[in-house]
Amino acid sequence: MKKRARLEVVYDILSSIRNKDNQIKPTHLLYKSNLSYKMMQGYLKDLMDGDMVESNEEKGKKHYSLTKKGFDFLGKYDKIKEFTDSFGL
Amino acid sequence: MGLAVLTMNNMFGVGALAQICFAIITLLIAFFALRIYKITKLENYQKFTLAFFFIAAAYLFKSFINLLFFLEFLNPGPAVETFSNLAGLYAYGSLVHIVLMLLALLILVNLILKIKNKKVFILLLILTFIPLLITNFSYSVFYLLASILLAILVIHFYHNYQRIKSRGALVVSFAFLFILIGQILFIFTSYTPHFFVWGHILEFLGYVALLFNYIMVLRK
Repeated sequence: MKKRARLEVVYDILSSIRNKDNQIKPTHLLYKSNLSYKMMQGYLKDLMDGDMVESNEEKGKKHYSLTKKGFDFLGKYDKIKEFTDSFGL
Repeated sequence: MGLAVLTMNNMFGVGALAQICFAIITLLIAFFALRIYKITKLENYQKFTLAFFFIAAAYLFKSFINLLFFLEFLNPGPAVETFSNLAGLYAYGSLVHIVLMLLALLILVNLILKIKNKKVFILLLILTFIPLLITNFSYSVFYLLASILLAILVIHFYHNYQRIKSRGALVVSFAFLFILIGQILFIFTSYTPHFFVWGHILEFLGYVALLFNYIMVLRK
């Protein structure tokens, strides 16, 4: 199986959250993103540092949801992918 | 003599105009990459942005110097004083152009070869700039060094096209190939002035291809 590029992993994580009505449990995200727990934590930290994802707690249960910036990224993903592919970045 | 001055004047004018166009195209690409970097925080885009900003700055410096020459030929001042001032400005402008352009190409090579070790990058930097220092920043040596770095980039973009098979990757491969052939022709400009003209035409085609790719990305 071909290794996913970082950009694709970010897209997969963000679209998984969006497709779950913008609220996903950590265990669901782990399953959907097809990453190890450690790798997913690393990606989530970067995405939260970059203001694309935020974590919130409801009734003691943790959820992740997209911020406006996260939605913006998904909207522009095709352009970003085309640019990235054309230069082989 | 009159014809020679007119030709020189046109050359500086056309050169300045073309370089401003190259600067605008590379700035557009740099700002697009910067926007991606701000979203993704990926180091690749940071390096790519920096390299394209350096290319834009290199062309802006070059166009500024050419514009000064163009204006001076239009309204000549006291000959001797003007010549020494312009010669000094040309030397400094060329130096800045050469340094910025080589830095940009080195950053791009560093990016595509995935060089993570800073010591290796510093070594490449030293190996690139020593020949220039020895030859007093000669343009032929600069074109030779730029051609070597561009050749590495062209190979990368060609392999990328083979892997991705997208129109964008093909356009970028050709863009850098045109720019590379242009630089190779510039090395031999002293043998025949035709190479200078063809070099500029190919360089122009290369940047137009980059602009075309940029427009295709925006239309996605």
